[in-house]
Amino acid sequence: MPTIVNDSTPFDLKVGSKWLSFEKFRTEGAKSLDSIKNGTIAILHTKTGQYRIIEEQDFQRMLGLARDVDRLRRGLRVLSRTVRVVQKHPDTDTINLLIEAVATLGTLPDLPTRDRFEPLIPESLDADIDDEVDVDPDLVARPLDLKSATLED
Amino acid sequence: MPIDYNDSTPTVPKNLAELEAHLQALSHDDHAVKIIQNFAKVLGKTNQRQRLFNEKGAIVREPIIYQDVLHRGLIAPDEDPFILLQGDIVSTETAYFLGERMTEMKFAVATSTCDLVPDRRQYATLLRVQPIKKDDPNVKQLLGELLKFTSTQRMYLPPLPNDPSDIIGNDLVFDGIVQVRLDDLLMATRLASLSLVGWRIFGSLVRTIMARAGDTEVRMRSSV
Repeated sequence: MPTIVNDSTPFDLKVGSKWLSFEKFRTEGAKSLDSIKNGTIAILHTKTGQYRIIEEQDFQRMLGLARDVDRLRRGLRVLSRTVRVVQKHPDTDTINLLIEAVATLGTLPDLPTRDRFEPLIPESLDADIDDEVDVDPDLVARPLDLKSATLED
Repeated sequence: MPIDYNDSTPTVPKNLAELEAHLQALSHDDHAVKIIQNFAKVLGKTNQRQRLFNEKGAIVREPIIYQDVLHRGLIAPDEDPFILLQGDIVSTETAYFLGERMTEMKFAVATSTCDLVPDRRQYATLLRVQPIKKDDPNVKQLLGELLKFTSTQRMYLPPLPNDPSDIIGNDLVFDGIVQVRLDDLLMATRLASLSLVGWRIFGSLVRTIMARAGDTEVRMRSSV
């Protein structure tokens, strides 16, 4: 059975560094971005406006949650319409419809997420006992290891 | 000399039977996968295949950036700018599999590059990438199978950026399609692009997995 988990860790944003001009940000350099992670965002004021700087992983998590909010909003719209119908015509059919709509939305607001699949298993049971395989991480080349990549500051 | 199938002069099928005959060696042909399997076979043991396919640029490389290839003159300024390419390895939290939103996972972009242009499509298709850890049960056999390229549901990938040190490889899984809105996908984190040969291997496997023919099926369809 697949492992199904709920992404229940709260997502909070906190204000971190603040730069009052682009020049100030530029002179402080990329090192000053170190604190922007784990929900801490920065504010950059420039002549063209105010900007928030968010770390890539936090941005991806926020975008993912925004998608769930869209899902939730569609469900709530159906629910609120159903409630209005029940208020207008309170009979067995409309009340059953309301029950059905609530049941369809399930365990709001815990929308299902999944962060892993079943472990991989070999497709065949015929093991080649003479085969040689590198399983020591020190022997396995990592072609795109960030440590060896050249990144600009 | 490759056959130019756009050239209408040599043979145009005259009826449906001839059309089928013309397509049978093209639409469901598994020749490409056989070439990959034979290539892997002659490399020797699994660790020799690991060493070759784990070299930088062998299967994966750093993401190919539009501004860079434009600057090098490798793409014309009037061609569509790209944000992602087919086969790119990405991470996103906006993709869904059977109604569940995928979190903390990596994917390979299965949609063709020309359909990844903004506003050209609404949705895109991803394939999940699962890590292979040094302590996984049967890890040697798993890697041995993957590096022979004999599976009809998996493709080997080397360790990827941000992989913890206990991950010694990755498995691109073709069993199950993950869906994502194109607009969301274009904001995904790009981790790697496929090399040219990596893209050829990927394309060969995708094509074979989606459309391969067994003798029985051909017999059935031609007889009923």
